[in-house]
Amino acid sequence: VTGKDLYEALDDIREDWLLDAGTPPNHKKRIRIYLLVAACLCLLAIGAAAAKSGVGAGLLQLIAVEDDSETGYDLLAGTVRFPTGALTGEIREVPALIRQQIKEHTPYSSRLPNVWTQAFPSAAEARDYIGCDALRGLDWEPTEAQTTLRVIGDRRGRIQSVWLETAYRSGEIRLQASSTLRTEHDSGEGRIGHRTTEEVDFTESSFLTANGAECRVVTSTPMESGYLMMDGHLVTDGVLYSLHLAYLEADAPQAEELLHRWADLMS
Amino acid sequence: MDDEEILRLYWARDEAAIPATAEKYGGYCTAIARNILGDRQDAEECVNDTWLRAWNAIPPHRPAVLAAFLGKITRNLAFNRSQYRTAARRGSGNLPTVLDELNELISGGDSPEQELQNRELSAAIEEFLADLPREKRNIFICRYWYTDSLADIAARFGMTEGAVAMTLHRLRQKLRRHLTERGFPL
Repeated sequence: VTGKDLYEALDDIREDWLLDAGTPPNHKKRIRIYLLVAACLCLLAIGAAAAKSGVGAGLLQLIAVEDDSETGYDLLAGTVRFPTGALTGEIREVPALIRQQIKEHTPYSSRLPNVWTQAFPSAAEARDYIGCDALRGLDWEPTEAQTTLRVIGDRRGRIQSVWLETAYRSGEIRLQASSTLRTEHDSGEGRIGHRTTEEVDFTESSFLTANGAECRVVTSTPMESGYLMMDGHLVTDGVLYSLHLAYLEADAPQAEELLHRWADLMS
Repeated sequence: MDDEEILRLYWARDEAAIPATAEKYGGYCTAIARNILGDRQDAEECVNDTWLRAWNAIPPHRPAVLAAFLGKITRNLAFNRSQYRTAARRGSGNLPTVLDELNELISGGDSPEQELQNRELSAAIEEFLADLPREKRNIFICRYWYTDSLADIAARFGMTEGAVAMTLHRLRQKLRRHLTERGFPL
């Protein structure tokens, strides 16, 4: 059996499926409508709250996703859209680099032309490169492994979002701490989440940090590898901070302690 | 003009059937051909060949779904043209990438019972598609039947290109398992 055989075998599929796939849908899936309504309502509420208190928005809504091929969750995060002028570091050279990537992109490239990625020796150096006062650093005990910066731009190269992730290790617990900063050019709804092909259940909870901020937590049942997942999300000064932990059942108390410690430091 | 009226023109051997078909399904068939061939002129020639094939086939054929009938002719013509053209060089349409993706899940090799296997393969793929949720089935068909680009699929289904690529990757893995379980040599 070759790819050509598979391509040709597809020729005989049902004609009603062909027409269905070949006709743009009149409406999106119900869950998406629900998401949109939820996002609008929550953004209105957040806008009113922000106008009243002057503080940044928080995390909004959790949507569980499950079908036959994947499980996961989505969260809508009410982050601030920063003016690109708030990015004062060398990151200002990235729009030109993205424009160059778009110019040189070929249809066979597996790389997305509007995404610029670079590894840094440390999280501190990556933050210097970004140069945004609102972006907080993380000074704690787990061993820092690697830091990756990903910048997403639009077709004109304008920065839409900045995503900074640092991997840590604490014994057998693996941690990934990320910061997401959106700019005025990002018109998306700010959805974050996680997907896995394994059949796991997700549970949502939250707690208040020492500074009174809400940290939203999503935990999973064990995966086939025996590892559990726990994600913490919070918004501070308009920036979304997330911590992803993978750990064995025996390390659950320590993982929870690390999450709380991270949340206290980032809020 | 509705399909019944167009088919009546074909059966009456009225040449007005061709412009009527082109007006109603020109965009649809051109999109299929352009996705595969990438080249506008090649696509237009391919679509013109589609009308000729349809003229020669109807009658005696009376397609139940005219759009699908024409789409299949266009797809086959474009595929053959692309294969001929890419014998010398890689084409610029989406087809080489799509074939590469499908090749990922097999290791190659011919079977002595190719024809029988092809029929069984079609049935197995249809069984696989029947079990998919509607949106995932449509994404799969958009990519592997219509040869749509990831960007077009992303725009159509309100997804990012990365999410489309990931969905297709998982669907290919799932199809691989499905075919392997049914004894196809991948």
